[in-house]
Parts: sequence; structure tokens; C-alpha cells
Amino acid sequence: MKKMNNKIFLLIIIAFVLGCQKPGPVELIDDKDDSKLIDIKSTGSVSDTLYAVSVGDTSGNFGAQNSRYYAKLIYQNIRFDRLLRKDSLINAEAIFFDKDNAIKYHNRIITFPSFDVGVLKINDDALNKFPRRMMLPMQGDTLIGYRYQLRKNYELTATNRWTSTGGGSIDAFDISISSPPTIRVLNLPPRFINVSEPLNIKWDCANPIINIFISGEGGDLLNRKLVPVMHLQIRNKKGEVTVPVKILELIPIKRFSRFVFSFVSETSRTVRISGYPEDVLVHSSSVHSIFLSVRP
Amino acid sequence: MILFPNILFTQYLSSSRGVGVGAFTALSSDVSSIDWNPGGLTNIREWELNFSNFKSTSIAKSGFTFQSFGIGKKFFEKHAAAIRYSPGSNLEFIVPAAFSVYDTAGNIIITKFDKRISFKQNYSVGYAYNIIDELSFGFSARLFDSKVSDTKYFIDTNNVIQSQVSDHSASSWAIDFGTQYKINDEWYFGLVFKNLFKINEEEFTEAMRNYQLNLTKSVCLGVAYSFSDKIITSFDIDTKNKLRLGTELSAFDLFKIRGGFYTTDFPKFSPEAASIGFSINYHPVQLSLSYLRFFEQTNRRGFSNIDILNKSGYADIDYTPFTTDRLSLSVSVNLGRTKDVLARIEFVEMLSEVFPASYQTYAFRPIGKARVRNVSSKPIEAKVSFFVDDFMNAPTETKPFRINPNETVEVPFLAVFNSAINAVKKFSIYDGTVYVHAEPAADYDDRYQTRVLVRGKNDWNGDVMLLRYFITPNDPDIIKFSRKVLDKEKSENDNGLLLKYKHATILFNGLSKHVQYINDPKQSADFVQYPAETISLRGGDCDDLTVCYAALLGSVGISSALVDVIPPDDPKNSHIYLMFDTEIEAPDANLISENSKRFVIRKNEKGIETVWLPVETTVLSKGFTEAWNTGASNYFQDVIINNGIGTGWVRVVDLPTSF
Amino acid sequence: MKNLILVVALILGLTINIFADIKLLSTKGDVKIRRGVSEQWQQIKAGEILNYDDAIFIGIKSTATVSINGQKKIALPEKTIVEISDLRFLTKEELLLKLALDRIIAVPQQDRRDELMPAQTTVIHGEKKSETSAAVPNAFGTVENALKMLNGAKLLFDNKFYGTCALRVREVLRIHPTIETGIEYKLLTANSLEKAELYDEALSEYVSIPLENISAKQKQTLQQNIERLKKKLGD
Repeated sequence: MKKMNNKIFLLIIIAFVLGCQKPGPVELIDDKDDSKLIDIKSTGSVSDTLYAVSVGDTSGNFGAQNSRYYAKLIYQNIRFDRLLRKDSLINAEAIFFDKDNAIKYHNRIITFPSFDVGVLKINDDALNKFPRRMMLPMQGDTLIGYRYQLRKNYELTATNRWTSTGGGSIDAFDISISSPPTIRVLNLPPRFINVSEPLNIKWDCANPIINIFISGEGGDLLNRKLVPVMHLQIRNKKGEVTVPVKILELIPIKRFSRFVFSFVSETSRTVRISGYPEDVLVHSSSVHSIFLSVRP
Repeated sequence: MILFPNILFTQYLSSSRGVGVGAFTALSSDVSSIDWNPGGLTNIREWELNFSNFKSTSIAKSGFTFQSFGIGKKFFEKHAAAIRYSPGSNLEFIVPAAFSVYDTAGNIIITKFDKRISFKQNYSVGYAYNIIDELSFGFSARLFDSKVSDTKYFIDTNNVIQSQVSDHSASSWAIDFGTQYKINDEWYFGLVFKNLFKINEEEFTEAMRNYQLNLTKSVCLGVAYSFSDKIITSFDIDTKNKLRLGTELSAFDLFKIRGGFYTTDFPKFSPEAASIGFSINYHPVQLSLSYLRFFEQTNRRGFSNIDILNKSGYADIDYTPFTTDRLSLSVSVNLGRTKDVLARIEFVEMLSEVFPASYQTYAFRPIGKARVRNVSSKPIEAKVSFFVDDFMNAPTETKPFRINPNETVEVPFLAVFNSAINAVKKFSIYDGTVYVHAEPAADYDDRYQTRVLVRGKNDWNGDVMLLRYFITPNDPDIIKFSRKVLDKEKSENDNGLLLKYKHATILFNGLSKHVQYINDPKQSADFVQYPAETISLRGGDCDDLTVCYAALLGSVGISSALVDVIPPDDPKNSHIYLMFDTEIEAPDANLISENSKRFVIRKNEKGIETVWLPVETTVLSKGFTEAWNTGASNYFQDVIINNGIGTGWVRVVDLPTSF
Repeated sequence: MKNLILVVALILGLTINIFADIKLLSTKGDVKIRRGVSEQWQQIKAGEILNYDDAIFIGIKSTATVSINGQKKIALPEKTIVEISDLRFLTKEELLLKLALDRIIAVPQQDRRDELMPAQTTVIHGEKKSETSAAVPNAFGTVENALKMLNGAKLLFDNKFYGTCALRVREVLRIHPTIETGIEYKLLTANSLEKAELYDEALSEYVSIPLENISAKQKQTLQQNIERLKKKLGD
């Protein structure tokens, strides 16, 4: 009897030691949460001041976002909402960097020189050709190339056509790109938002991807600067998104008092241009930028 | 956002038997009573070890999970306590990271989860007390630990988004209170107040307050009815409208099968789950296996809509909307004294108070009787023991009595007192204990505390059978007195045939001169003086004088007998007188008297008929002749005419002599 | 069966009997009465009421008549002693109880050997003289009176007081076992018992009569009676 009991005991212990698995967790699914529609992309350190977003390019498209391209043809259809003021304009910019002759200082790339592509036109409007000058050690004030920019009144175009006469080694080109669906944010007046509450944003736009760029407004009154802090890519499934608190909390409200939320609907592609060794980004976007104060 | 409002679940999975029956509040009887009904802990016998284990059947890859291990102990007959470790009592949720984070190079940053919420109920203790055999109360304290791991994001100095997990924890004790009441062999009741009190050990910070486990208060009533010793049915209903029904069937002695049906939304009886199970007893191990199946599988397959969690409140974390179908296995091991109770004492009646004067009689005449019931299913042999501390050297034990199942037998028991009982001066009450032993048990199966009334040494209950123990012919004072009286009348006390008659006469007259008849101020049945006391006090009532005269007769070798008369039409007017043996044989009766009404002829131990003379001591002062006349008259009337001996209201009790 | 009757009787609690009024109607010659437990016989006159504990004595060539309840008259012949308490009918059960009385009051043997009270030896010192004179004087010759009592018993038999007759004869013979005509009275006892329908008791009474000292006629009667009773009991 005693031996029998011991055997039983042993069996029990074995059975229970084998049974030492923990029950698995229950995975909770939230149908109402839009988080899954959101990708957060790091803005990185935006090649520093070189490509800092200008007031004109609130989306940062010209700088950070597409910094891996050395040549860009950017067409932006921009609408600004500020408190008591609404603006809209077309901004077109272009640059062709000379990747192989980077300007270095102490072995660190400061910038690249850029090519002259002759007369560059967008929809038959010539872009202004601005020389780029720089104080270089040993050489003093030096012309390091040109950049192109044009601001003009807001207009809606179905297709945008870039043409160039060519210059230097780069041949003439003629490139067209269709415009993306226009975006208009419907429910975000340019006042303030709270990071402690999920932010619901509705828009009128059919583009399946909506990018939201959030930039802090820095600098002084005369020299305003926008610093990109966050890039959210939204899968536009229902014309709206609720940004969870967890994301809003990332907004560095201690560093900046005001932010620009830029909602971007874009189309872009890359092309090769005879005489230029790299891919050229051709980008067309509809941008709705809203200036907001952000409260904790 | 309010997490966990009022949906409540009072089912526990720590007992396979409980899972099988479903409704267990009135029946819980092992360590798992900590969950079910702490009142049930008193059913633990000596030591109990309890293991339980389960396997989810609705989740493909799950193995066996160690649910719990508990130890219970019964102590001081009426108390029970248990402690339990239950690593399997876990409820864990994962809120997956919903949005994707990419680094500057466009690579996705892996985040395991947004939040991990886990509730554990790993430690519990319980205590219960049997107020009476049928009624017990108990409480249990269960420690609930909550932990939330929250993934936090931040942007580092390089504008790169990083994640970090921060942990928050909280813990609290939930106190339950339960009672079980067994009305009879058929009806059982149980009532539990769940989460009656809560004691917080550690609380969540404000930000996490929403994830606090919401242990809501509830009440659950359980009723069980036993149709026979083979089948028992029970139901539980709680204040959250859950109703469960269950039945347990003893197919064989050591094998039981059971089934349960769980409903919700009472009184709509919406089916929720069904269970089936069985158990095998292999002394001292009980193994139970049961299977629980939910009708609605949504949320029970390892994933669930977050809304369900947000709407749930808990009595426990075992049985929730996320509980999966499962096979549960539990094993109970009884250690220590695990003998089944075979016999119970239902009632003890003390047949007599204890009169120290006659303490020896209780060794032969039952002092009380115990009604013993066989509570087992087989015939038993039961012995009853009786013990009074201080006054008995060892418990007495009766011969074994055979009792058939569920029958009772009244067992008379004896008491062998020691002489310490003579030290009791006044009417007092002592504790006596009655035990019953039943074969093949070595220990007592049950015991019953009773009151033993021990009288003062002079107390008498009016029973003439006991009065004779006051007669002390060997008392030196009595021998001295009788010798003194006889010596004084020496010249007359040497008659041959009439020697005894003469001695009796002289002693009577000597006593008559020395003591007086006094009416007992109290009921004469209450108090009897010892003969030496009567001699020294020089007085006594009817009983005292009769006892004293009998002792004097005994001291000189004259046999005597008490005649106890309790007239049936007037029992309060009972009376005692005495007759003594002249040792004159019947054919010589005329030496005493020609009138046969004046004497009684009795056979002595040698079979010789001798002449006995009735003497009434209440007329002591008038001398022997008058006492004899009165005695004879009384005897003639009581016995010859009214047939008192034949019909039993006159008793003749023979007394001891010193020879 | 007997025991059963006894038990039934005990349960029914046959207690005090109501005695009839017995009156001495007439006397002639030497008629005396002994009251209660007294030793003395005293003269009595006609017309006196007799108590149930009295005994009446009829001398030589004397007679007396008593009435019971003013109805039944009994003539008491000479040389007779009758206990007034014997002038009553006993039921079968009462008679059984009284016959059993000997056994009931017999000294219980086990009590005498009561181990709870071990005997000690105590000796009373003093001279023992042999003296035969009776302490209590008897006014009448004892055997004569015993015979008168047996005559009284016959009278009881004749008046159908079979129960008291049997008991009386038994008692007298117990105290006077040597009475010569004892056998005749034993037959009377047995007869009475038979009349009282106590056949078992009657038979054992017949059987207990020693056959040596009886006449042939008595023997014949005895054997006839035994046969008859055996037959009766055999039925």
C-alpha cells in the first residue's frame, strides 16, 4: 500500500511538472483604433540646415523627405491656413546636384555643387534661376551652381509639364507628371489641439496615401524657420483618421510653441535625363498646411 | 474610459469536480473551497494536498498548465485552514502595437506590443470554523496582482523615434465570506459573499488607474439536494444572474460521474457552457477529470475584441469571457488520519445523577445511554466509552454493538468512578465525555460532551436500591455503638433460638434511647445521613433511622431488608421501613407469634424459610414492640391485602451485613 | 403463559381491593376476635362489624354467623379460626401473584454475595446461654389453633373462596409442617387450585404429595385427579 502510494505520488508530480506551461495571452483587437492605418517615419536630421524646410516647402518635400534623390523636380499646390489668414500658391522648385564633386570640409560633406540646366519651365512658366554662393575656405565667396524656384498664383492643373533647354553636359528634357488628387482638411481650424486627446481629422481627398508632416515653427519674427519633427503616413481608407494620444505625445511641445501640420497628397516618379548620372525625382503634390498651437 | 464594469463570473476552475458539477457552492469540500465557498474548508479531514491542472482544447498549441497547488489542514476538531499557490490563475492580454514606426532608412522598428495587461491570482489563504456539525463559516483572502507593461515612444536627439517599455503594478487582497449549512442528509445550503472587502497593497498610478482589476461584490447562493446516497443535484445562482445546475452520480463506490449546465441572463437561462466529468477514489487519492465546453466560442480562442475586456468585471480571473474550453484535472491527497466516520452519537441521555455514596453501582448499572447511528454504508460494530476527568481513572468501554447502515442503537454505558468522587460535598456539575469507536477504526469516530451531575456524598435520589449503599455496618462507630448497647443488656442477650430477635430488640431500644425521630425539613428523598452521623447527631428522619438501624443490625450479623413502599395512588407519600431476619425457622414461628400477620416468612440463601419481623423506625421512641406492631400492620396491609409486592409498588431490598 | 398473566396483572396495577362489609350476625358459645396484629383474642358480641385484618375464633361447641354485604350468610362451625381477609374471592391473576409472592420476596442470592461490600469479620463478645423458653407467650396451644385454621380453610373451600383457601392451607402447613392430617389438606389445596382453574399449579400440588403415608383411598383419588388434570392440560 505504501509503495503504491509513493508511485501514485510520483505520477502526480510528473503530471504536474509537465503541466508548467503558462496560458497564452489574449490578443485584443480594436476595430475602432486607427493606429494600424498610421506609419510613423523618422524625419531624421534632415541633412541639417542645408535642406531645412522653407516656408515655401512646408511639406519638407524638397529637403528631408526626398533627400536621397540628388535631382528633383518639385511641383506643389499649397494652401495655408493660419489664424485670420488663408493663402494659396503654386511652388515649383528644382535642383540637380553634382554628386561626384561634393564640397568637403575636414572630410565632411558640407554640400554639393549643382548643375545649370539652362532655362527650366513648368507649364511654360520659366522658373527663376538663383545662383548658389558659398564662402569656401581658401577660395572665399564662390559660385557653387544654381537652383530654380517659381511661386505663382494658385491654379488647378491636371498635368504638369517640365521642360528644359539643357546646359553643360545635361541635355534638354521634357517631362510630364499628372497632378495628384487635391487635398482639403475639413475639420481642423487653425487654432489649437490637445495632445491628451485623440485627434480626429477628416479630409476630402481620394489619394490612397496621405502624408502628414508636422513641423515646429522656430526662429524669430523676421527669420521664421520650420523644423520637421514627425512624418505620419496614413492609409487613406475612409477619408479620416484618429491620431492616437500616443503619437500626439511625441510632438515636442516644449521645443516649439507652434506647429504646422501639412497634409500632403502626392504623385511622384523617377526619370533618367540624358547627361545626368542619377535618378531624377519628379514630384507633384497637393498640400494643405495648417498652423496649430499644441497644448499638453 | 471605464474599464471592467459589471459583468461578473462566479465560477472557478481550481477544482475539476467543481468544473464538472458547475454548481458547487453548497458542496465544496476541499482546498478549492477557498474560491468556491470558504465555509466548505471545514470538510477537510486532517491534511489535504490538492493539485490541479488544465489544458485548453480550443487553442491548438496549448499544453497543460499548472493551475494550482494547495494545502489544507483541519485542527482542533472545528477549525480548518488552507493556503494555495496558483500559478495558473493568470489572465493576460496583449494590445498589439497598431502603428508602424520606421527609422530614417525606412526600416520598420519592431515593437512587441503596445500594452501587455496581466492579472494574477497566485496566492490565497482561507480559514473556516464549524459552529456546529451542520453549520460552518469561513473566509478567504486572495491576492490579486495586476501589471501593465506600456510601450512608450519618444524622439531622440537625432529626431529618430525610439520605444521603451514601462511597467506599472498594483495588488490587492479580496476577502470573501462564505457559509455552508447542512439541514439534514438531503438538503445542503451554501452562501458566499464574494469580494466583500478589498485591501489595496499597491495601487496603479493615476495614468494606469483604468487598468485596475474591478473586483465587484456579489452574492452566490447554492442549494444541493441528495436524492439518495448515490445521486446529488445542486444549483448556484448569483446576483449577476448566472445560474448553474449540476448533478453528481456515484456509479460505484469509488467512481463518480457528474455533469453541469451553465446559464446566464437569469431568468432567461441563456446557455453558456456545459461540463462533464468523473472522479476515481483510490484511497487516499482522489483524481477528477472534467471537460468544460462553451457554446459561444467568440473571444475564447486567444483573441478578442478589446470592447469585451472593457466591459468586464471580475469575481475572479479564472472564469471570464476569454476562458477557453478546457480539460481539467485535479488530484486530492488526504494525509494523516483519513478514516471515514462510521458512527455518530446522536444523543446522550444520562440515566442517573451520581450519588457518591453508591458510586460503585455505576460500574454495574448504566449511568447513561448513547444513541449511536451507523453513518456508513456497511454494518459496523460500535463501542461506547465514557469518561469523567478526575473521578475516573480510565474511560469505560461497552461491548461492541452491531449496527446496520443508517440504523441507530441505544448503547447503555457504565462508569467506574474512583474514590475521589467522595470528596464532592455539594451538588455539582462536571463534564463527561462519551466516545464511540466503530470497527475497524482505531480512533473514536465521534464524541459527545455531556454533563455529569455529581451529588454531594449525603445526597440520595429516593431510590431504595441506592439507599442500601448508605448502610455501613463496618463503620467502627456503628460497631462501637452496637457493642456498647448489647454489653449493657448482657444478662438478657444470650437466648439460643431467639438470639437475633433479642439482639434486634435491644439494639432498637438502645437506638430509641439515643436518637430522636426528626421530620426531614427537606424532601426526605434528598438527603440521607450515614449511620455514624445519625448516632453522633442523635437524630434523623425516617430514612436516616431506617438506615442507621439496618447498619446496627448488620454490625451484629443480623440480615435485614428495606421495604420500600410507593403507593400507586399517592406516590409522593412513599415510605421506607425495615424487616430483619430472626433466623428462626418457619416451624418455630410460634416462638415469635401465633398471629401470622406479625411476621414474614422468607427463604434464606440456604433455602430455609425463616421468620422476618417488619419494624417501623418512625415510632422509634415508643420502643421495639410498637415499632414491630406498626411494621407488621403496614406489611399486612401493603403486601398481603394490597398485593404491593406482586404489583411492584412495594420493593424488598436486602442489605449487607458485616458477617 | 403464567408469566404473561403475571406481567399483565402487574401492568394493570391490581392495587387495593375493596372489602365487603362483614358483620357478625349471631354467636353461640366461645366466639372471640383478634384485632389486627394483636396477640390477644377477645370476646365479641353479635352485631359487631369485623375489619378485614381481624381473625375470628370459634371454640368447642360454639357457632357464629357472619353476613357479607348483608346478603351472603356464612355459618362458622365449631373449632374454627377464620381470617376475615380470607372471606373474599381472588381473581386468577391475584391468586397467581400471591402464589408467586414466595419467589418474589425470597432473599436474592446474588445480593448476599455483594462484592461491592466485602464482609469483614466482627465478633460480638458475650456469653451464650441455652434457653428454650419462648419469649412470646402463647395463649392457646399452637397445634390446636393450626387445626382450627385448617378447619377455617375447609369452610372457605365450602364457600367457594378457593383462592384464599389454598393460600391459607399453604401458610398453616408451612408453619406446622408436621400436622398429621397434612396430606388431607394438601389435597384440599390442590382441589382449591383446580377449582380456581390453575391447573398447572393444582397438578404440581398433587404431584408433590408423598405417596408413602397416604391411605389407599386417598391414593386412588390422588391418581384419578392427576390423570384428569394431565388429560385436561394435554388438550
